[in-house]
Amino acid sequence: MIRLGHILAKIALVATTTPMVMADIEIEEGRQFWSFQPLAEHAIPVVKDETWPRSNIDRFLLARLEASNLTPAPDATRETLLRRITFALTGLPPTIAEQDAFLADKSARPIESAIDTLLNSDAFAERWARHWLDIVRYADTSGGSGAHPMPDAWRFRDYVIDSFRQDKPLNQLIREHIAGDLLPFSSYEQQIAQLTATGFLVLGPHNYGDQDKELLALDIVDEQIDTLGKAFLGMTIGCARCHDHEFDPIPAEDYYALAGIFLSTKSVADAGFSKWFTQPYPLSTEEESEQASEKARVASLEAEIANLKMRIKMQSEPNSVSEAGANPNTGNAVEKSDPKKLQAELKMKEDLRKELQEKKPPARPSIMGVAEIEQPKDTQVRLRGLPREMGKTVQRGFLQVVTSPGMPSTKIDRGSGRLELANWIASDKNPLTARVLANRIWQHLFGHGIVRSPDNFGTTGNSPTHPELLDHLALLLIQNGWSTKKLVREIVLSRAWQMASAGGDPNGAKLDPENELLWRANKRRIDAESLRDSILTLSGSLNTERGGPSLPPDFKTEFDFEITSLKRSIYIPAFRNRPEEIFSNFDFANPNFVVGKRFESTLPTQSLYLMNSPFIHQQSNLAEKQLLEKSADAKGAVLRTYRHILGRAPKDDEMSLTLHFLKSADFSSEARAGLVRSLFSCVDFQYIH
Amino acid sequence: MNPRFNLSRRHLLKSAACGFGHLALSSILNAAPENVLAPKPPQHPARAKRVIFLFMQGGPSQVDTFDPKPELSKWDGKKVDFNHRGSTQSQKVLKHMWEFQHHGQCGQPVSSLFPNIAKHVDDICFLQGMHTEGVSHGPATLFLHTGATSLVRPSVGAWISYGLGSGNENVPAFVTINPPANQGGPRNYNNAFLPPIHQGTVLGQPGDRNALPKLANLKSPLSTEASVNEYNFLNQLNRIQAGPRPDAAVEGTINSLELAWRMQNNAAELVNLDRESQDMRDLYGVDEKPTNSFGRQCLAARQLAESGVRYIQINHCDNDAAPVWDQHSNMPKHQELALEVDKPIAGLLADLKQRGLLDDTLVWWGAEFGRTPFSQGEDGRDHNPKGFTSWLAGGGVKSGFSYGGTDEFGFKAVDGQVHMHDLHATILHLLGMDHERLTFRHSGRDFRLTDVHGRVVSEILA
Repeated sequence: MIRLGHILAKIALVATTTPMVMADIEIEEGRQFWSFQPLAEHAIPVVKDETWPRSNIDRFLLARLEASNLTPAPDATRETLLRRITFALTGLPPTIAEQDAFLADKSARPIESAIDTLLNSDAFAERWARHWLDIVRYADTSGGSGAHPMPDAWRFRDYVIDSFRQDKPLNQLIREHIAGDLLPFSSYEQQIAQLTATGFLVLGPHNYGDQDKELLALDIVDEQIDTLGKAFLGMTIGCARCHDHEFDPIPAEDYYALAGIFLSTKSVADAGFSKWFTQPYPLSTEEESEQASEKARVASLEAEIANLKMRIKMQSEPNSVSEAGANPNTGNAVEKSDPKKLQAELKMKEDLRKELQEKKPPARPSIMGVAEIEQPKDTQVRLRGLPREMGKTVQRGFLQVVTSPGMPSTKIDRGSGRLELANWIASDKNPLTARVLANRIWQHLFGHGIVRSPDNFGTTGNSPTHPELLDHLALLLIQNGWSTKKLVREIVLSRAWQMASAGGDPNGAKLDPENELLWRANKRRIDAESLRDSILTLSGSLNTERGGPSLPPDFKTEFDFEITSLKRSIYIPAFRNRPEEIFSNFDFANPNFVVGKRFESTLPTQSLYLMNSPFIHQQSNLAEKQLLEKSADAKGAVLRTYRHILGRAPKDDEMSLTLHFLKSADFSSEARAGLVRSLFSCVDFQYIH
Repeated sequence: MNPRFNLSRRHLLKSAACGFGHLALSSILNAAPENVLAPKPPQHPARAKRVIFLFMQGGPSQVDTFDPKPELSKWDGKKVDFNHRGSTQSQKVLKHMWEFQHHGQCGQPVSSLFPNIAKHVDDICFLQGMHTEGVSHGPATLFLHTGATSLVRPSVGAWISYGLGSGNENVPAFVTINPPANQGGPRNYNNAFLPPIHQGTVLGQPGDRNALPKLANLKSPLSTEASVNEYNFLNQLNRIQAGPRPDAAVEGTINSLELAWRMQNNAAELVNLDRESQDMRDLYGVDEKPTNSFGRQCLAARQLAESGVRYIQINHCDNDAAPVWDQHSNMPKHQELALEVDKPIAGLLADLKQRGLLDDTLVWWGAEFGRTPFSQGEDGRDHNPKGFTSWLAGGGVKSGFSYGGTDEFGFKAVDGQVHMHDLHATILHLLGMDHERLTFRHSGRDFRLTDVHGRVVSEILA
């Protein structure tokens, strides 16, 4: 040891020590942390006011409110409720017809029937698929250092929408994301869907131009691990790449156990400028039999051609008996074939054969996704995350800290281990997965999760505000076969979800300013897609076509690309470097990262967009023509416009203010469009109450 | 400014309200607070009126810029135990990659990366004993901006906006140009629990250091009369809908509309680089590669400073997982990056000085942390929050001054240590605010930018 000055305590010229290793004991202690504990069935709390709860969810919430001397807010009005439900479930506003039907429905359960209609709509699938795309960092360009178009990404997006439409079990969705190529299938469609699902692993932003291919491979694996850790497990596993996780019980060994799995997976097609891995669509049964019959056709043509050639040859040889003379068996003279005719026939058949042989199979669409490599193997810990500084080899496996009775075996016998990993994450017994997913659904409906850091269930994340309720929801999710629709239905039917967002307990703001205990509903800011989709719907210009490619065939780069599509926002290209203006202004999820919770900003740039942007002006002019132009009855037109845009009739002072505004401009089209614009911008449109 | 639009809201409401008498006008007026961004007096006499923060995302290396260490050459390639991140492994020392020379009367060493900034060392106060929290970009970037590594806390600029208001009611108090889109993204310029109007207004494009520093949609396509009427209508509609006791979010939406309206009608006061002379553009390196983008940001910052914005952040950042200055490998890339910013920053310092603006403008150059004196891979350096250099200029700090220092290797701050909390406290102090008294009551307790820490570094005050 040499001492230098008074500063460095110890300087060693040679490395003599071994790196720190997280002890088993730390992992064992780590298991005591709430999120690693097995899910538990908790007793439904007893509440004082039995008249309020409609479900067990309500009892869990009310018990906490009562303990804090808070009372829940009154029920929301039916108009407010319909608007809230429609936006929450579909991201769109209720039409006037839907409002009329809902308000007129005198049946015992009008809300249930409205909810069921919405749950079964395509719009529900689009809305909830979009939530999912936020956490799987979906984009149509590659990001990294470049912005290369990913022309097949949309197939993954459509697969996610289809999955939500079918209400595919969420754990099955995850299983397909990680190991869809390894799962059994019973139909061609299922096979394609499952292959497409693995696009999840290759959608990430990567620096494909990196010339250090070893580093590139490790970076891609790192992004895969980081994304699936945050998205499905609420764990920041990526932290353990360079050293044991500083806050959570995840040693670097666990990271490289996972890395071995993904290094045994083909995710990248290496080249000077590498690319994500793609494979052509597999053949369908029909295509296979079609190809077989074409093959047979060619074979029979070959035979016919050979036969013809033989006949022609025989004809040209006068001594040939069978062709020129009598049939030796019957003795009858056989009509001699016209040589020209034979030649023509031969030519026709030869041409046909040539055509068939040269016929190119139709261009096969390609799928972004992964495949197994030929020789899967374990990998070594990379010391300090350096690609070529090898530590010890670790067996492929999962997180040691996550164990729970009944979890599937972590043994990987053959293959990369992706299938085993997928089953381990998707297991009913995995303490993290169901909690993380139930929390996400809760957050999308209430505005905040029970764990307010939805992508971080580790020690640096937030603790659950209602841990027992979270377990209750997670178990409910599992018991209902991991169905999104059933859990959504259960939550929105709770009394708690249907509370008013204004008013409520006068002590609420003081005792619980963050509304953690949910003494009233949270007012929600309209999100970017809902804003754009609503405006397009209300102006009548929404293109209701679903699915299909995001990028036009001649697409070159996201820079300067002008989006002209009027389809729902989920179908608009999601760019990694240059998001569409309305998206970046209104806090669209950054597709470079897992975004479990979006920001809700309030900025003058948003107001400027709503006041002055060409899009808003265009759309308000169109809406004005539909709603107000031809109306002789100003009051009736204003009423209809409010109901159309805000989902409610104007209050008296709004009506008089509006009539005054229109009248003072002589009901000019500019003022009428101004009314529409103002309704798009006003508080009651920008917030879902 | 067109006086026609410099109307107070009260005036607008009154003039527009004539004609529908039964509207409860008084209640609307009573609900309308005064401009929340109106200038507020400082708590003590201020030395600076505004801050321009030049954020070098990713962490430039102190030992390759302003903090030379002869030991590095001596030990180059040899292994030394730095106890880096708790590791007992030795690390390979990596010598400076650029030559250093002493500059100015103060003799501050600056490497050849920054030949233009080097000409201004006599106006600069170097903080060479900086240290901070967070070893990875996310936490450290949030700590730099908000004083917290993971909890959602208001950004420095939001605190300053809250404490001082805007120097001009027609512009936001806090503007950030091309801010980082990751490493916390908008949380780095957010208001957290402060009223939403104090959030940073973004010019340009998050995550794109080459985006133009402009504000979109600033011009109304309508006639003046129609746009005034429409604005009045919308504002009154909002007041009706908000009710007498709007919550913070709704109040924030209304405030932000009002600010947007004032910005729209005073657009000329905000950024317009076209009105600058060619000489001025040349000074900042505008119109030439590779300085064009950052030059525009710096020139825009000066215009914003003139127009009354209190806290202007310009960002040398991108949208990659590894930020711009994050050279874990390939340290030579520092050269390319320095070329982009060196001339523009020098131009900004020269320009502020010649206009007399440097007296009450505090310029802050820095990053979320520095880099290690030892190598990562062949030619990279790792993150180092334990010791690095930031610098300040103007606005009440000593000039031609260097404070604090790191150990023989430039690894750890050992004297004149300035923690990020201390720097925050000092910046607030220079702006006339006491970091212990600039508080906001939230969730039952008073919050501060510096939490329960922070010391005003009186040694550097002029």
